[in-house]
Amino acid sequence: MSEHRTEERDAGSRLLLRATELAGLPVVSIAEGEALAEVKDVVYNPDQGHLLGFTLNKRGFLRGPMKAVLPMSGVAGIGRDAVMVTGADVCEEKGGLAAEAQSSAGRNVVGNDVLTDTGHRLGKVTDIIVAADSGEVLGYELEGDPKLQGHTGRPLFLPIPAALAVSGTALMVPATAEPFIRDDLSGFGAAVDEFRSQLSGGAS
Amino acid sequence: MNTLTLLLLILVVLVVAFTAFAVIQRKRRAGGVIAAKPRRGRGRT
Repeated sequence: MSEHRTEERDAGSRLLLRATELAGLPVVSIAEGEALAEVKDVVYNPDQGHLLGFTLNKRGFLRGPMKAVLPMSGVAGIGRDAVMVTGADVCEEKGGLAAEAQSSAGRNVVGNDVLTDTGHRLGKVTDIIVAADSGEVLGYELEGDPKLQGHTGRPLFLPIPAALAVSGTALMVPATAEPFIRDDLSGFGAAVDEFRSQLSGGAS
Repeated sequence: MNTLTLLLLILVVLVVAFTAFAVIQRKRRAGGVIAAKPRRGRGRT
């Protein structure tokens, strides 16, 4: 288990986690109290801005990836130390997520460039930020443009709209997101809410 | 080739094999953050 985990809660007490911190977490069955697997990939839907589920590794370093995947519908809770499921039967080998994960293999967004719709490159994705309770994808952590950093060398947190365009190599965000970039995860939840309310206000 | 050399050679081969296995295994188990491909007909909510 990682010794360096950040746990940040926003003003609404949502637990915000980095997606890469979920990788390697044990998947624990509440019914049996047993670790069934470990999280391998975090799969999300950029169209709808939420997690779809997880691909899994077998427990133990010597063992490989599992065919079974864990859809979000089977997740009872995500915490900083484990992903909880109701029972072993929620993992599925066939079905929507299994096919989705297979067809999307290689579409890892970490390392992709982030561009605004005005053609400004904001930086490179190092992680995505998710709300643990709802599985909502709130934004990206970027290794970004030094001009956008409040403090040199700190990562940037960029809020994203609920729906987003993602290609194999670049992620598009509206230029209106730029003023809401933060370099601190604790104030990030509020920035996301503010940004999304501005977007929905502008749309109406 | 004396026994000591042979033992050393075996040890080196074992270390190299284990290191290669560990590297491959780390790569196999490495995770990522995957954006699902948009599907035709799946609209935005």
